[in-house]
Amino acid sequence: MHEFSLMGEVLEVVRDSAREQGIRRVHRIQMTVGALGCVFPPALEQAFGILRDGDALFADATLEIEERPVRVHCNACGWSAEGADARFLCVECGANAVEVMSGEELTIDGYEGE
Amino acid sequence: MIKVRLMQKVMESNDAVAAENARKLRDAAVFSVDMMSAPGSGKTTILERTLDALIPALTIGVIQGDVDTTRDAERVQARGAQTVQINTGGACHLDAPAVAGALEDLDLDALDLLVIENVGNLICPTGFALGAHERVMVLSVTEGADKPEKYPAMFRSCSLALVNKTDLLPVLGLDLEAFAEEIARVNPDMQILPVSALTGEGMEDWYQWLRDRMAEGQ
Repeated sequence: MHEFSLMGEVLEVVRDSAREQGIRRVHRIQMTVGALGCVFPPALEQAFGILRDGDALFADATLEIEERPVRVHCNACGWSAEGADARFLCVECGANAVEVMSGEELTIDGYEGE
Repeated sequence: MIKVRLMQKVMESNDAVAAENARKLRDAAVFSVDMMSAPGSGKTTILERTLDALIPALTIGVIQGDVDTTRDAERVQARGAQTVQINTGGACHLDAPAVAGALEDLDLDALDLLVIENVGNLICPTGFALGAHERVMVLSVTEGADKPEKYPAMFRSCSLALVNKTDLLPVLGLDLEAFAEEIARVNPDMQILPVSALTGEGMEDWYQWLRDRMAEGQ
């Protein structure tokens, strides 16, 4: 359940930024979470629900998580795959030349408020 | 309504502290490894043997991360390592600020090597950089060869796998090849050293790996 500490960090980042921007109520927080990031989106949502409780800044806020599948590309032969088909050693040519194109994201994309 | 675009990594503040930890260790010429594994893989036993073999030729510090108890810290302290215990109090991983606090309690100038024994867990510690030079994974053969594919992010974040409890391979009816193949499928660059912390087989290769990395750093 490291999602709790991650969500706590997200809210601190947004809080600091909101203070600078003079925003008193946050309506929406947007994040991107890759499938390879060891982060479970439902656990993030649960942590968000608990952590924002009693916090005026986030009382009306919703959390939007864009999930990114693992996408890989072989730089030797051009093979590519996504999601459950993704492998880290090329299944076409066997080369150790597979690059992870997406799936490692864990970002706070932005937020809206007033 | 104001829209604010941040595009900030969630791990940014942890990573900044990790970079500061790495700088401190580099300045004090301390080589450091972050050891990860599932619970019960034999990390502490490997560490005990390592301390017995390398002390007093090397001065070694250990940061022991555990959810609770000081049992592991007592085990390694008895071996002559400078030891700092971090009880995470339920948290499933160490983070860079916790390690920064522990570094304050160590005499870094006296150390040659620092081993950070992370909380036994193949998921949560993955994303939390601590500032160690290398991440080393312990995989015991009793866990089965399917673990790399089940926990790819952890295996991809480490440069070396110590495949431990090789003395049990005949009992399990498994061979090392299966582990090597499975590891290569998720992290083809990962180096693999088979060891038995019980019999000592293969342990000299691990000590040599440490000596080689330390020599490279100087």
